Amino acid sequence: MSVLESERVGTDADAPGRTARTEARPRQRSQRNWFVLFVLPAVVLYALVLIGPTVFSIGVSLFQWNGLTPPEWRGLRNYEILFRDPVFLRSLVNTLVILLVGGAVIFIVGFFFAAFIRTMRGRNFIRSALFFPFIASPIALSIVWGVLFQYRGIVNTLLGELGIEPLEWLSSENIFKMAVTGTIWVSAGLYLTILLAGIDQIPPMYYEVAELEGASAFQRFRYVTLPLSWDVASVAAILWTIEALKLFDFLFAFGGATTTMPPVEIWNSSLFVYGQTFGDQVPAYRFGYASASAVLMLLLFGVIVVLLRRILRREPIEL
Amino acid sequence: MSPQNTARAPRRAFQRATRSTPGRLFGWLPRLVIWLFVGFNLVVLAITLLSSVKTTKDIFAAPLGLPTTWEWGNWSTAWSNSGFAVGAINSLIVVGSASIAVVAIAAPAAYALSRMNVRWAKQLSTAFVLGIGIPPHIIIIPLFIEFSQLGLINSKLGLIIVYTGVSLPFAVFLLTGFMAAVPKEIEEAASLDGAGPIATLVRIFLPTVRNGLLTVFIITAVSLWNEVLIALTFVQSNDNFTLGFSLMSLLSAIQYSGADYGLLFAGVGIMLVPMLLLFVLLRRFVIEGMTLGVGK
Repeated sequence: MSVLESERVGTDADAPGRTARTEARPRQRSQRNWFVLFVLPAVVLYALVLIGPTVFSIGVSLFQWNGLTPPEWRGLRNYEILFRDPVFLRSLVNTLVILLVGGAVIFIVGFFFAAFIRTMRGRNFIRSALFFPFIASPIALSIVWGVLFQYRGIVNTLLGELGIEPLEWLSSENIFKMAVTGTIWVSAGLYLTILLAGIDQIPPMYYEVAELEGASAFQRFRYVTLPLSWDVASVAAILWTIEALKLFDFLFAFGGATTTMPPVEIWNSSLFVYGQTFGDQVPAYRFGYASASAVLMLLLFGVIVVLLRRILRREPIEL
Repeated sequence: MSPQNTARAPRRAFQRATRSTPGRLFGWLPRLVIWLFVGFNLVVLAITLLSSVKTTKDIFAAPLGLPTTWEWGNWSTAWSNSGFAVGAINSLIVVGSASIAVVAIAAPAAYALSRMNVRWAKQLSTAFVLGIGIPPHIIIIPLFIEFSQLGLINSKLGLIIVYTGVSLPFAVFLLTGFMAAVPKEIEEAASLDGAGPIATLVRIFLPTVRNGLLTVFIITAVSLWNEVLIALTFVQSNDNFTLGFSLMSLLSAIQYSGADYGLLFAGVGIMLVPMLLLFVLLRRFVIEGMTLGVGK
């Protein structure tokens, strides 16, 4: 498949370009004008809403600024203070825990489930039921998750019927674990579905051969499933990294509300930014400081994505 | 086992012996675990919908039971008294406009990026892909300031512009994939007929990739319907609230004024049911759209 694709891309890129250059210069120029016309609205909006503000944030991160009084130059001081701010460090650690622990669980469970769902009866139904939380509103699911596990909540009621004492699911030691578990619950369906789609592309022949050779379930997974769905899995891993950095809604609604922030125990990078600026009853409006934290996290995650790509890249396997 | 096979027989037997226990264990245990997870999701959905027509007392006394009295009033109270009607209409306007704008802007861009031989097309595609990685929380501060000066804070138009912008990178990325998959012959036939770029795009490409357009529309609509961070930052007055904001307000009201959990679940239901219906009706587009971009 990859061979076919690269061949097609090759001819696309070479042949028409060359003929156009030698035969029809004016036509190429008009094509360039059309290109600009087609791309321009998207580029303008992209620059206005995403690129511009990101660059602006890098600038703001060097100032102390509340948005009203003139900004005051601080250089890298905001960044220095961040590393001594326990709330930021907590948010940083939480973000990384969500990325690494959440990611490990999602991908292990995802691979495990996908490998079995492949041959199960009712697989479309299973896939849909596990996928649905991903498109449901995270704040709605977060509220449900909270009511399920609050002290006088639904889970403790059900446990009580079995004669089990109520548990402190949402105590300050446990609340972050429950938030991560909830995040996994909400997100896993997407990655499971992606992995399943990747595994579906593997020709069944390989499994038949492996079975004839007497490969165990684990060996079939190790030598057929894993290598042949590696590319899909590595893209999914990068997608998860991005989503882990963006995560806001589920954590925010897990103990927060329109004018209150959730407890610091479950803050991550985006909650930190919101908490330092617009969130809370008395908004802090620390634009410079919050921007510094956002820029730092974006840098860190940029590095993580580059490293992941390097680690996960390998020679393509041709089917 | 015949005597001729003796050389291989012990190995086979060994393999079968070592495989059989975990093999049989692997037969039903994973299936059971998977069905337990499926069951969990279904039970949670059932509890949510049932609780939305219960009294608070019923919700916690018998979470899995049917309501003793059916409190349909929860839904109408949430709808008219807790601002969900306004939120739903605003969400429809904002999400609908932004999703249409996203498709209308991303489709020509994706066509140009995947089909026109222009230098920088590749680099520009990469630039759009990188945009997928920009988290909303790094852009809300500058956008808040920029839009305050433009008078676009607390307006539906401002929210539509931001929503369109943040959704573009993924839409362009997905549509580029769809456009690139259109066979070259179709395009050549069009250009032999003397069709210009606009005619080729509108008459050939858009109809050919209409499933892709629908997919992008649905994915954009779903993610914007659920969005709250940008809405919380940009919307300040009651008449511009989106549905997510209504739900968060109801949550705060309940935290302060004592708990009417039936009402809260009705609010959750108003937020969830449209997505549930959409999912049941258009599941194929949603799932394929979300996995396709990665699979390609």
